[in-house]
Amino acid sequence: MTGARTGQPNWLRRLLARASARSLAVFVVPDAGVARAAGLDLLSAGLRIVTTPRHARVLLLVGQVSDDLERAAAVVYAQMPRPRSILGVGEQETHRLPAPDVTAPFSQAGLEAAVADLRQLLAEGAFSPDTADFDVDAVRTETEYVCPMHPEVVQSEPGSCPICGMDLVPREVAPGTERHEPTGTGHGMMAHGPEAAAGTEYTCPMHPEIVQSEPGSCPICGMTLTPRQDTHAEQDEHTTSRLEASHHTDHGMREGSDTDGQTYSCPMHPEIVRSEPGSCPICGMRLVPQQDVVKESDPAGPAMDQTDSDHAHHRVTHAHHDHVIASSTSHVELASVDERHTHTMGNDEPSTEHGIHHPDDSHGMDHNSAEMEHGGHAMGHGDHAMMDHSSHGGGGFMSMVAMTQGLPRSSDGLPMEWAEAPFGPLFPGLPGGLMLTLTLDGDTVADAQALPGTARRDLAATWPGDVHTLPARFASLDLLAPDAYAVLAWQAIQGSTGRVLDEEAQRGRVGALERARAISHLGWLAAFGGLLGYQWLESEAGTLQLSLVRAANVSAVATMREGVQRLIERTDRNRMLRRRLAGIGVVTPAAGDLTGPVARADGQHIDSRAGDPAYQQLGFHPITRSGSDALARMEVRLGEILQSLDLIHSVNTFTLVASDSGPIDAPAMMATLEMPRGQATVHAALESGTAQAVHVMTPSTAHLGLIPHVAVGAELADALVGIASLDISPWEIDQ
Amino acid sequence: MTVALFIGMLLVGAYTVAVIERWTVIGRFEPVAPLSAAAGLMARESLVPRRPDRILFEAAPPLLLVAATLAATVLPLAPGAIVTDLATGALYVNAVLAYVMVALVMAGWGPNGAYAMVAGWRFLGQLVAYSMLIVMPIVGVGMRAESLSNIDVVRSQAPLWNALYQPIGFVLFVLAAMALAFLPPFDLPTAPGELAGGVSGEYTGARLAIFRLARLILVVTVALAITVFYLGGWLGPVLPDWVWSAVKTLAVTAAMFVAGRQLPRIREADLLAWSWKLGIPLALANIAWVGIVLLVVA
Repeated sequence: MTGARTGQPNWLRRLLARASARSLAVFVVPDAGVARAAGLDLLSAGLRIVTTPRHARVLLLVGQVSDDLERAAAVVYAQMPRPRSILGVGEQETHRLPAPDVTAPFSQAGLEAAVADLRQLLAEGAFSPDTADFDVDAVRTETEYVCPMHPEVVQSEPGSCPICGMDLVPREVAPGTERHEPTGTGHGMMAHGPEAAAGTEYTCPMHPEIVQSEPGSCPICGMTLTPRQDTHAEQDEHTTSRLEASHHTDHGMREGSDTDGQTYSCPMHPEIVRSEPGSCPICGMRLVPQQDVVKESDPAGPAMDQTDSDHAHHRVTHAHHDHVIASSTSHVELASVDERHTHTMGNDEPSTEHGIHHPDDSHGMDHNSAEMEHGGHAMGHGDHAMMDHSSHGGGGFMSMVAMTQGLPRSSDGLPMEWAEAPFGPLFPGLPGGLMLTLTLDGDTVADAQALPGTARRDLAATWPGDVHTLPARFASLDLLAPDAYAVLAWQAIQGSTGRVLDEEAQRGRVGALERARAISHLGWLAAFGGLLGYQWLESEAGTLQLSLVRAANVSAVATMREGVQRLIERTDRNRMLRRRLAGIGVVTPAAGDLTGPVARADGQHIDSRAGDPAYQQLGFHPITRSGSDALARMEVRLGEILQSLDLIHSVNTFTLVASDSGPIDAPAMMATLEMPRGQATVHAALESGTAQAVHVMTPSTAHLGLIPHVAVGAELADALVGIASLDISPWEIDQ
Repeated sequence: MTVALFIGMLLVGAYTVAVIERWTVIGRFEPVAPLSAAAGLMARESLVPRRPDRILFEAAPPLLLVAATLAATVLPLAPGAIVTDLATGALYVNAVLAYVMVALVMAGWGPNGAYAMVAGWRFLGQLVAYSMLIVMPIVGVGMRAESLSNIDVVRSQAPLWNALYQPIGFVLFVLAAMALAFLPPFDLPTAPGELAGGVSGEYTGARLAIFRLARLILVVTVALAITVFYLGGWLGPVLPDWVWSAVKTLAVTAAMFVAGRQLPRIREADLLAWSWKLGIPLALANIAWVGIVLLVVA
């Protein structure tokens, strides 16, 4: 067994292995929905689905996975504790993963036999004296050691910083790359916060007057220049020096300065400056005295004037660059807060002041510090997210204001480290193959990016060819709605022949499409229940989906009606569920093109079935809701499941009759159908019955762009529910 | 009661709870499954994620286990069957169970992973929601018993169980106890579909076994606490005292699991809003109610 745990088998280990082979926890690639849509009941085959690779014993591959997915699956496999194993269903060809330990055909009986084999294998081969290492590039890293204060100090061995003497902290880097790739635990660990944007400058930690746009070394002391973020080069040039200047000058003249020029500013929003005490109109915090901004006629002398005008300048520029605040304003802040403190402590060292709390500031600053500790820790947590401390000068303790300098601001106005976390392509709450990168600000989603094409299998390359075999090749386009696209290809071929179809074939087409729709919606509902933690819904919808996939004839489908009706009643009565979904993931046409249930949940009567004579005959009316939110989409899909079952009942068949096999003279073919997720169109150029360029437009491709609309600004849990409610099938995004 | 007997009882309780939980999830009684699952965990590697906060990572599962176990020491199964009858027992339960939050935040922080970390902080928010609703209903229980000794609390219920005497407090305490034991629909820190296992998602092998055992014992402990505070503890006809305690505790456990299956996971914001805007006023009303009844009856 390739995934055996190293160790000499002995009686205890054999006993444990035999006992543990009874309970098999599986991590399913691409996801449990694909397995169910293929008619596989994992639970009754003795496989328990788990949501993290750490708890899995078996990696279950359902069907041939794409290259990107296999890469992700290899990371998952590498994270599973040994003894671990791979079970492949269907034809398997692995490049990055070891070959499956056991393979099974696409059938329940085959799966059950394979599970029995796997149990045998695990009971006997769980421990082996010599085992092969499994390593994937993505999780291979090197460790280097850096100084938390001096990012330019990087060495390959642990030690202390030659500049400040602090212990170096390890960080991981992918071999041969500059930037750390998100790898590691779970489905990828926290990666960098937002990267240094345009406007990164390089400055010498010791000589702040040295600023250049390229990395390099300081012409004065020869130290490596460190990057910092700011868009105002000129402003920057003065920042550090002014800071030092203010420390010295302000300090000296504090006693003499009168309070005539006293202003009050918000510790978090420096642009708020008032002449009287009060609270910040943005965050409500108490304003703190800002004593260094005094009248120009202040008698304190030229040095002070210099400082003042600089500060003033800063505040002005700041007001114009709300988001550049970063280093400049926090420094203004720092100076003003620290000087008082410096005074009381009688300490001239800029380095020591930063860590000490200011007694007279506790109402404002301590609160901040506590809040910002999040940011500080989050940074440490990411462990490679080094912050730019370059302008900090000689090291020592950092104040929280300084630590959070340069960090983005949350909606509550607090600067915080943002963490970029990958969700997918094998994240349990999202369809397998869907790859998102969410930027998390605490547990609020600050940004959401969908990376299309993770599930891409390049099926389009296999489409040109004999047009009559196209339905069969289209059948596996959407693994979550098997056969739906076969109906689309079939329809296109029929259209191009120009011959009128007999009624039986028309009914078969309607039945097959509606069956695919109900399977797809039920699968979505089960996955949605899983994401919501609504176990009853997950298991009930999953069971119904399996029985529909396995239904041999129309009467078997008819028996399911009761179950679907119960589903609708229960979800309708469940007020906690309705409350959970109402108002989540609202999308309107302003966000992008809506189609399918997403459009119908927005109250639009968009359904290409409504214009189809075969459906009109059956008295079809699209189901709509007006909420535009996750609740409305669930209700539309629930209604459509029942409607599809009724349509199957009316046409009394769901067998897709083979398409007209006669010769086709048309130069092109085209068809549009209402797929489970919305309207899909296929175009193909034909040349004597051979498809040349085949192009399919799918609803999921259109909906991918909605992800940022439903996710950004929402709490993580709500963002995931919103994204899931769009029912995006990554399989449809193939081109 | 000897300590060995006490630990044995907790283990049997944890095993039974595991069987009940499995029954509610898959609908079948599989009495061997918890044992083989435990054997499976012992046979597996116990991995340490890269660059963890090692101390927090290692300490979290044992801390959870210790907190859950210590809380159970002051809960009586029968008049003599208690490890220590503290005079402040009812309050002690609340104090010790506060460490559940500490353990989960540590488990979230320790492994150095985004999902676990979000999950750990979520539980900190959850504590803010449930903690007052643990302690305020206990006030009502203590008022009636005129004692915080759990033996006295049970004896005070001889005329009428607290579940009927102070129903508001009972409902609030049960919900808060479910949130404390992070049972669905309050499973925010483990959130299987949402955060890939959350705080427990990075633990494997023996460490995961400890974590799961600790969680089961925690469920037993809160169910026993509900029994002692509200369901008359060992009080009941015919059967021996300890049997009544065990039956009531397991019934409470099963009810919590079955109810959790029927509900979607609660939103953190809703949990906080309901706890503070609705729960705390109701808890105060409960205290007032108990006070009025005590005065009128006396």
